Amino acid sequence: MDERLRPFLTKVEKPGRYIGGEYNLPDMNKPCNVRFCLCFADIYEVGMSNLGIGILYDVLNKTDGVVCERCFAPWLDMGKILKENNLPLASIETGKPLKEFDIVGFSVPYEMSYTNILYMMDLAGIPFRAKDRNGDFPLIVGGGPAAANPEPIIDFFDIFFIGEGEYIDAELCKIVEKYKGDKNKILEEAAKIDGIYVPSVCKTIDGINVTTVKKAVVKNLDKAPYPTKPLVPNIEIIHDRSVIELYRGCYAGCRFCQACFFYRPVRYREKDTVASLAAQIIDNTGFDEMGLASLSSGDYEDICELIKELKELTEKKNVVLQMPSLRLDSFTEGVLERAKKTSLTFAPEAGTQRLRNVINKNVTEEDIVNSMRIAFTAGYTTVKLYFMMGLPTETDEDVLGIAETVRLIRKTFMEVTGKKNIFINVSTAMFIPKPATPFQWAEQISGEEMYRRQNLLKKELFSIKGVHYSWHGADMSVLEGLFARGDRKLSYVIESAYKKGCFFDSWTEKFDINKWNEAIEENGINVSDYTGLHDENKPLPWDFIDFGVSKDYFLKEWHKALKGETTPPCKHKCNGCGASKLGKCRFYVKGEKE
Amino acid sequence: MITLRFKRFNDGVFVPHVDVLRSLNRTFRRAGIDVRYSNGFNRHMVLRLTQPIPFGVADDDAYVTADIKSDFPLEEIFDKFVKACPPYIRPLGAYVTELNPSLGGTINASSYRVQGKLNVEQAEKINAVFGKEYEITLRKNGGADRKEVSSLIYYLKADEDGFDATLAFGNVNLRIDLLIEQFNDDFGTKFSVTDVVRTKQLIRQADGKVLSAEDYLLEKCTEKYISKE
Repeated sequence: MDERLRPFLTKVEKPGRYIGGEYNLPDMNKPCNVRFCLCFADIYEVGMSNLGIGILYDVLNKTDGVVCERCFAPWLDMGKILKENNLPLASIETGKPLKEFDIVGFSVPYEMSYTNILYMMDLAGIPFRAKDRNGDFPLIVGGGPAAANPEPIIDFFDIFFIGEGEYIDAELCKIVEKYKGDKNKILEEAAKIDGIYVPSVCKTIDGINVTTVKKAVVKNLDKAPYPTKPLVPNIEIIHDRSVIELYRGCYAGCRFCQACFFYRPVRYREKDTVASLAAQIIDNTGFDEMGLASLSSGDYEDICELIKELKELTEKKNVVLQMPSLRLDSFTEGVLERAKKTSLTFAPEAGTQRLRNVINKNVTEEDIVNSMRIAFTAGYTTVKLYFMMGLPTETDEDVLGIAETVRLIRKTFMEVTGKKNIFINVSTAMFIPKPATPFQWAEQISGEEMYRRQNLLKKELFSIKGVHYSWHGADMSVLEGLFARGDRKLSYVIESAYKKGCFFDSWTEKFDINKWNEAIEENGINVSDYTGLHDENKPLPWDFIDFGVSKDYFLKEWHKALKGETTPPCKHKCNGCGASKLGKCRFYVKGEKE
Repeated sequence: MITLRFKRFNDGVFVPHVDVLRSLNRTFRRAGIDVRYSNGFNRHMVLRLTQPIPFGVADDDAYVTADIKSDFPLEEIFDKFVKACPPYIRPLGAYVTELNPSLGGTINASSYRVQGKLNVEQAEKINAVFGKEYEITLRKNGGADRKEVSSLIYYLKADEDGFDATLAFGNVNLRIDLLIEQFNDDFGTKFSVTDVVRTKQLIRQADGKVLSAEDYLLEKCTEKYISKE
């Protein structure tokens, strides 16, 4: 641990966040030529729950000549102590200051973590903008889900990883090792690798990058590295369990879902590989819970067989197997057979069939009723339902349709069980148009309209017994929308907001919309330019990224959405999205479309 | 029933009691030691960890009891546990008893060593506390209550390098962190909770006889294994 922090640990809220020393810690003293600090722009408990961090940490520490350490954003109390005592932010493992590393890599999980990157760089004594950093500073690299449009934050980075990092992180380390001390040469060589975006060597027109960067894709997921000895935290974290990733990408094609398209082509870990990984991870960690990770685990081809196999293993070891959240059309009795009856989570996303067709959620009212019948017959009495509001073409009728769906589920429960004691947790998120989706041109509704629709639904749900309603804040959703489709000009807004005291913005108690509005105004930004309907003929800031899925496909899907037409899931028929050109897609059939 | 004696040291002092219990649970599973589980809806490993000590205090004398179903020799169980332990826990011994020794409910005193430079005057003042009425401040929810604690201090001896104390522990309790805070206020000492090590857990019996928890286990156990380290 960082020994300089020891005198202060009794003065902070959770000292366990800063001590490190977890079980399965790799050898930090092995001979190395490149020291990589993997940073996560949120606190320890959130960052340690991130599977991507776990995979990269494992891969890098298994790479010859590379030692990878971690750093998480210190909570407010520790951040204040570091500033007051002039202690630069350092890694957890050895307490080495960030600016002494060769590479500092930030995993950027969501838009509202952008200011935390500056918070960490500020605490580390590293200038924010790449142009202000000479070769004495480490190479600042970024990656993670925000890579679908890194433009609002790209000025802060020397390099950005686009896509999956399993192999390209290690490749960058090799380049750094070879050309250590020559930053320009490192950047020049790195730019030659697929998935590595080096803004300083790219060509721009009117502030928009036009040099194509191809997304990095792990071609064979079944053979890809996966941590079988993940770190076991000493304190409770958000997802305090072992996790097995089943597959990447998603065949469903819901038009709002960035992950579905960004992580295509669909690639699987085979059932035997999953089972073998599960056995090793249980033995090596001792976690008493195991979860299955992927965009829609219920859609995994062998899900019933896999659950059966994993149940046998976990029951023997007294480990609880957590059921994944399920798509309503992938829900079968087989999945439930050996599950513990606690609560089930479903995501109908929209309240009417018309709107479900617009978003291409291939789920009918019949699917919902049938799935609920299965669940209630099996003994479930609690259901969680996720919906989105503000979807393209949404009307008040669609909003009230959410309440109608809840009433239908309640009625189904009473028919099946003859009882009324059902608990339904309804959660709504606001729709945010995301890059790399068919809705990347769509309009996002204003904050005021979000409040109006939330109140409309709140009033309607209030009259239904056994329902608990929670919703995502409108102000935060507008900001997320702004940055999701932002350009380089927004980096000045982020910097101004940070200087006004905005960080940990995803924490509601710390979020201050007034400061953000000031920063937006000071920088002459018109929010509706970013959140409004986008012209299909104008270039988008992220057009330079080759996602595999083509822009034409997105456009075709956008037009179909506006007409309320659906596209069948690609497990039935390849829809020719284009993703298979980056790696073999599970559902790609040669000659069928592409 | 097997009770494992262990020390919690280094950064482990910053791991909360409930997380130590969670770590021990994982340690048993990693070690492949078959522990009995509860029979309820949320089945959990039945572990009995002795009562928590204040956050930041190192512990040289902690105990966890588990109902272990195993045909392995005790030494082998102990070795497996040692290999699976997190870095901040060091097992010291294992004791087999017929019944649960109920250490959590039986232990009623704890000895501590508090390290920190004292001048002669400060050491004398601390020594003078023993056997006399002494009040400490209990800060709770923004308020401050005073409590007389002389009956909860069973032993107190200061020297130039700190002091040793034996205090009531368990249902009737005097927290060492509150005592050192009071010494800091009253005598200008600069003790921190991280200067404290709990050296022994004790059982003061009705006849006044004092037994260490380890000796108590040695009296009750049918088999024992003490670490050679």
